Amino acid sequence: MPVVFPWADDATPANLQIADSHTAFLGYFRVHRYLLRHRRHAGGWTGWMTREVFERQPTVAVLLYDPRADTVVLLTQFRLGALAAGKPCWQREIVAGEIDGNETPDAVARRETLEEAGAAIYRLIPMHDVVVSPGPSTERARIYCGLVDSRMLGGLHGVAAEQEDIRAEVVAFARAWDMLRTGSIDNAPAIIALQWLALHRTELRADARG
Amino acid sequence: MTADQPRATRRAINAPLTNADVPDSVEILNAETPFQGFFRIDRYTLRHRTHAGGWSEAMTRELFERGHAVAVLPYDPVRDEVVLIEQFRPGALAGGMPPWQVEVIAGMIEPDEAPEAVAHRESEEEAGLHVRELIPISHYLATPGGSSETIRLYCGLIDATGAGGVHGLAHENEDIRARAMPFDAAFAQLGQGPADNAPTVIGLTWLALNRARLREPAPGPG
Repeated sequence: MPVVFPWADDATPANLQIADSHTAFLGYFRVHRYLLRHRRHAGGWTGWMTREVFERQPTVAVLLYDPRADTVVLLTQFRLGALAAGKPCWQREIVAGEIDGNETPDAVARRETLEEAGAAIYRLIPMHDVVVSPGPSTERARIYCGLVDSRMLGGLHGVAAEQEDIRAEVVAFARAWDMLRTGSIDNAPAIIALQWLALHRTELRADARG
Repeated sequence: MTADQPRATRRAINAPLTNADVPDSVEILNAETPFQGFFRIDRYTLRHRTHAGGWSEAMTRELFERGHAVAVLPYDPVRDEVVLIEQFRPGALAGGMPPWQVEVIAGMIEPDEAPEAVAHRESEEEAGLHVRELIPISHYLATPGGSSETIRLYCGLIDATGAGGVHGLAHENEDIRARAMPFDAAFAQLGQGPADNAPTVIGLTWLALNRARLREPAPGPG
């Protein structure tokens, strides 16, 4: 049964009015502050409201998967957000990076995979394209599955000039899934990617066997 | 790796971390708050142990602080229906995504609130739902580098009979439409745009992997 959400694509002036917007903070990150109102579901308008938005570059994330060996590549690196959240600050993650300027998401996926894991992707499959936190943040993550040959992968990687210090490890999918279930993988891009793989890996393995 | 575990499980959420809050493998050299509005941005200069041994150079990093959230995917295992809500989201708008997002129920955890209490309250406020059981799905970081935001995501077992309608707290300018729909119709929304946000994707995919188990009738007395 199709479910129709008639408003979802509709940010026209008839539905949304922005009276003011300005940059409230500009450092490495940026906060934008809006004064806006929008149409209500039941008709009429909301009151004018002030909303801050955390402006971030869109990102690309890549789960590296070897369908012949049924292994994934996980990265471990220091993460300030995890530290401040009271979670283990060496996070187990998938490859990720910001999209700068005119780069295509595919190019970012391949570049970051080389920088962070020393790997070459032979097939890139889009999994999801998500807003990571749709209330306060503009951050959008394009999440891919990158097929690789995982033999010879692992070790220390990262761009020294960016202070990256990344350990890559090849682990069986079943072990990565255990890490997800027990909470030792606990960040959204890695969870979304491993869940997608759980639903699709049988067909990827069949393709690889030809 | 216990050395990496935070020393304190709880700290003041209205100030940056200090060295008393962090493990020995991290050293905070300076911390300040360059922005304090409704949200906050902290700026740290720090160094940390490296994988190869030794210490990194000192680095400056900004961190977005917005608190921690609870999210609930309401599911009726008898009718095989979920309830999703539709509301205006400024982050999605500014990010070039559909501004009326289709989502799981969510709300912020206030200091000293239990996450389960927030889950029950928000289910009532945002969708008029009584949750009879909460099943933890994940306690995850929205984006582990630049933000401390965590989400405790639950599946909330409900009776979806008659669920739907317009909800939300008017004095908070909330304007929320709740809709009950078959699981398959909800899952088919993924990839279409409005429902493509992390909590909804994680919740619906978890349900795709677990709903057969949830639909089995519980063994009753006799």
